[in-house]
Amino acid sequence: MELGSVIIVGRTPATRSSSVRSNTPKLSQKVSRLPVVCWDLLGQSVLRRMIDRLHRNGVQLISVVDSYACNGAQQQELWEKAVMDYTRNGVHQIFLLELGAYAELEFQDLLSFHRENHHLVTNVTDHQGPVGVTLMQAKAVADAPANLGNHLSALASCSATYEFSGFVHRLSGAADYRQLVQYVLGGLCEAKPIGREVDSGVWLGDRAKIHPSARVLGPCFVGSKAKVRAGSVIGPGAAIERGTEIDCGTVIEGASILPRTYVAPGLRIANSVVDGTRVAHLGRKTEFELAESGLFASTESRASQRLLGTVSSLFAFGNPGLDLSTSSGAPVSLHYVRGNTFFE
Amino acid sequence: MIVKEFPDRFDGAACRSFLRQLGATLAELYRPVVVFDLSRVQQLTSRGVDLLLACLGIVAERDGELRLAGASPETSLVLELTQLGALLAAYDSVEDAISKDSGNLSDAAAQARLMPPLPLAEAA
Repeated sequence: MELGSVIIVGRTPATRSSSVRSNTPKLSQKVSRLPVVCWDLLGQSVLRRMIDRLHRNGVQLISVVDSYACNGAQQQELWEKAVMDYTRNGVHQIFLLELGAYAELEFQDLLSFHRENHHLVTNVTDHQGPVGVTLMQAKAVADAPANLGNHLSALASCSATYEFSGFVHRLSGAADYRQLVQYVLGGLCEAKPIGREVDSGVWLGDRAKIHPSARVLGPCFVGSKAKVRAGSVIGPGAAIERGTEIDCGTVIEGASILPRTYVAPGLRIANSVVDGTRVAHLGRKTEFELAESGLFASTESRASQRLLGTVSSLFAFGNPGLDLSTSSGAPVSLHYVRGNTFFE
Repeated sequence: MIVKEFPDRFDGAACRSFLRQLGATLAELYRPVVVFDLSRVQQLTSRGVDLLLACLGIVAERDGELRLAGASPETSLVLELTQLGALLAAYDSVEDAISKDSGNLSDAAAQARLMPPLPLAEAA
């Protein structure tokens, strides 16, 4: 029995209907050009971790639909198109993931529950409400009218609810993201930093370079190809993502530096998320664009590097490593992956 | 008490001119209290930070005190990131900076002000 999955990232139907809740102060997602679930989180984004989890649970057909890339109406068409594409091509059961949370859901358990209850639709909830995961029978939507969202709402009366008691962390902004980083570094969930643990709580990615005079105090993470220059201090709770450069004498603690960010010498960054020249300060609950300050930059700001990145993302299209496909051969999401370099 | 408007652009000529003016203003003073009005500065650049440090050096040479006033949120963040916020007392407005006495300064700055100068013979 073939399984398919449609993952919606960004402004999802779930977030619009307040199924994604957070107890932490919200900072908007503007700190990065990508939705929070696509930010690297200790070497791998929540989206990538979710795709891996789906694969481990036997789901091979996965489409990713971005709601930021187009307006609301188009977005609805995209995910509906993906679902209908699956139903027309012999997929029997479809996971619809409105990805606004990191959830350590065992999809096989959900599938067993769904089969035992003989419902057309099963929604996943936890103690805070809907998790944003729906499992549906393809036949439930095969003859659906134009607006699939409304049709699914109408099916709510005959749907089952799967109560999930495992780890779920909702991600609505930089504060939630930082909290999840702390949970992963503290070993409070299944997710692990992508790298090797060289010392207690100190994780290093491939080809990370740390100057001998720099101090690294765990729990912390230095991602692949990151450079930590002389005299810097990477303190507890710091996450230096891939391709980042921390210049001499800078202190980072309790902060995340998103991929390919250059951080100038002599700074002290705490309780923040930095992406290129944008800084979200969690203490001040504000976000700033500091392009003119000269304190931050993007390590890929040179035109030649941007061009190289674009070319490499084009070649990555169709690469099995992307793990994105639909059975029809007309993937609804790959244009997004190609255009926005989701999986650089 | 000297109040000066901090420049809003930080090219080499503007910085040198500002430093010259400050040096000339403070030339004959001992323990001056200088307030920089940052309200025109939208975002402090790394050159602006260098200029502030240079000004701090000039004021410190005269055992004076440098206060900042009217910094924008962006400038406040830059001051925090560069750790200048720990060296300099910052106030919401120039009026606040003028009205506050040394008792409200940061501990380090206040402590520095309270230290009596050494008698010349002892210092020698």
